[in-house]
Amino acid sequence: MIANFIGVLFDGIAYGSLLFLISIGLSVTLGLMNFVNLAHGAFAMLGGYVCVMLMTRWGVPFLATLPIAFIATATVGAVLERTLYRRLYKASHLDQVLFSIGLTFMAIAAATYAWGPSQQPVRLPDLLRGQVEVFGLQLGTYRLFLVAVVVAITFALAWLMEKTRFGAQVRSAVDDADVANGVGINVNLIFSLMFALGTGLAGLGGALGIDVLGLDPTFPLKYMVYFLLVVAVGGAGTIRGPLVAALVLGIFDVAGKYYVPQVGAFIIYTLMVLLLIAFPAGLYGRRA
Amino acid sequence: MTERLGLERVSAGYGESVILDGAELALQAGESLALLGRNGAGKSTLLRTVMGLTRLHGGTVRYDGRDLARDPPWKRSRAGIAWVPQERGMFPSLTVDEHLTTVARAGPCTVDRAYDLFPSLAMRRSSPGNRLSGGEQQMLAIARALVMNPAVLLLDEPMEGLAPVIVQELKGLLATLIGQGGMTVVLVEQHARLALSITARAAVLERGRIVHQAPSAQLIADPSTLQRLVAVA
Ligand SMILES: Nc1ncnc2c1ncn2[C@@H]1O[C@H](COP(=O)(O)OP(=O)(O)O)[C@@H](O)[C@H]1O
Ligand SMILES: [Mg+2]
Repeated sequence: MIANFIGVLFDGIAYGSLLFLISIGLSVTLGLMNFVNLAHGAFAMLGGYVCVMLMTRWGVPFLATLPIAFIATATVGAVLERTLYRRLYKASHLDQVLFSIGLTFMAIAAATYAWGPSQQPVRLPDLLRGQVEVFGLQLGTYRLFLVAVVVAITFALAWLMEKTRFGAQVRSAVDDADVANGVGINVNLIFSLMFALGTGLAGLGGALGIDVLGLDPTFPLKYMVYFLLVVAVGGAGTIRGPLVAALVLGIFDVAGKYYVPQVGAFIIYTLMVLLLIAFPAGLYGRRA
Repeated sequence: MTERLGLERVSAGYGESVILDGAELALQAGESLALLGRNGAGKSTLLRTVMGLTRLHGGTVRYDGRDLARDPPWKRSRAGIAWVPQERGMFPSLTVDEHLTTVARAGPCTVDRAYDLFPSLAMRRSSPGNRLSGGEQQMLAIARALVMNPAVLLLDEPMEGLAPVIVQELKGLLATLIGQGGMTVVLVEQHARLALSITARAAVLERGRIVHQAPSAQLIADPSTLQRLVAVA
């Protein structure tokens, strides 16, 4: 019973870690550029397809596809930021929503055309399959791997943002873009780099997540609400807020579906409503 | 002498609005200017226009003979124009140290030198920018401009809201900086007499235009003109 509960909790944490990895870029675009990017999930999907393509067509090992998925989606993100997104930073949120939802449907159509409508398989390396025993508990090896990767990335991100000169420049641009610009910080370049980083992490999350979230052309729509929830509940522009929110959502979603399957997805929406009423600016609202 | 900074028939504002309307100004290298004018005359807008933070409707802003029209603000800053904004422009999520190290550029004023100039900042290196007192924030805004080792220093009401002893301290520092003659300084001030006492020249802005220019010593010796041009009604 207890072991079972811990197993569910662990699955929830793994799921939440994945949500966090994918959503952090959405938090960045919202917190830094004040841009509502509903197409964010499409970048995660792209990362997933890059991973599958590399494995099935060219026989690249799964682990080697991960950095490539990151770089490929970051590059596409950077190009789209320079050519399209940038033009809408000053537009109304409604315009941004219309633009990015349009982009989402284009991505869905393109993915259906290129790879067909079906679920893509992923064959994990033997090393990452099965279960391992940790303190007498049987835990899924792959989920353990997922959590480890996300923990490592979270620490790396925190270091980048808090300890480096680049991180200080990013924070100054979030605080006051005009003044940052006026004291010699290339705010546009920072926006591009952060957008690329955010989409790259989404792509990495999409690739890592095939085994957990699945991968088909409807991916960006299916999970859109989850990514938005993480940012709405966690607050934009921070690392800690979305991390906590993603873990809470992941745990409640998995536990809800396991213990009360009749209610299913209803649980997290209830949770969302309650959290938004309790913390209208997000758990760690940046702009209080 | 060579012109360092020049404004030629500059019209600029925010969005569609026109705040500067035909402003003309020329500053030689090493010169100091008090930029005076009533509240809302457009003094801050003029400094922001030099930085590229307003919309330029017409005219040219020249720096070392080059038209700046196509340069974004960060390029102007790196080319040697430093700006101390009126609201001080602190970054709440940066420490005092980060305020300086993220923008410092090679030159005689290193970060350590800035801490020598402002010992009270040295003691608060790891405090966030918005936790400082008003005087400390102003010092940090000035220190941040100095560690850029600029050729032009634009100061927007640096004495605003400070205790008299700190005003005297800053005045001494600015007088020294101006006296060294290495930098071109534009000082926007509500305290006209204070600004005139440490600068060489003065210009008065009214409704977006320079309406009067004179040596600072001459204007300070002519209270009725000064009264007419800048006295708060
Ligand atoms: N960010 C802004 N957006 C729109 N109008 C502004 C802005 N800043 C200043 N103004 C307007 O520009 C005019 C000049 O302001 P400003 O340059 O701040 O004058 P000063 O610094 O001489 O007091 C004022 O009428 C003010 O309302
Ligand atoms: Mg002003």
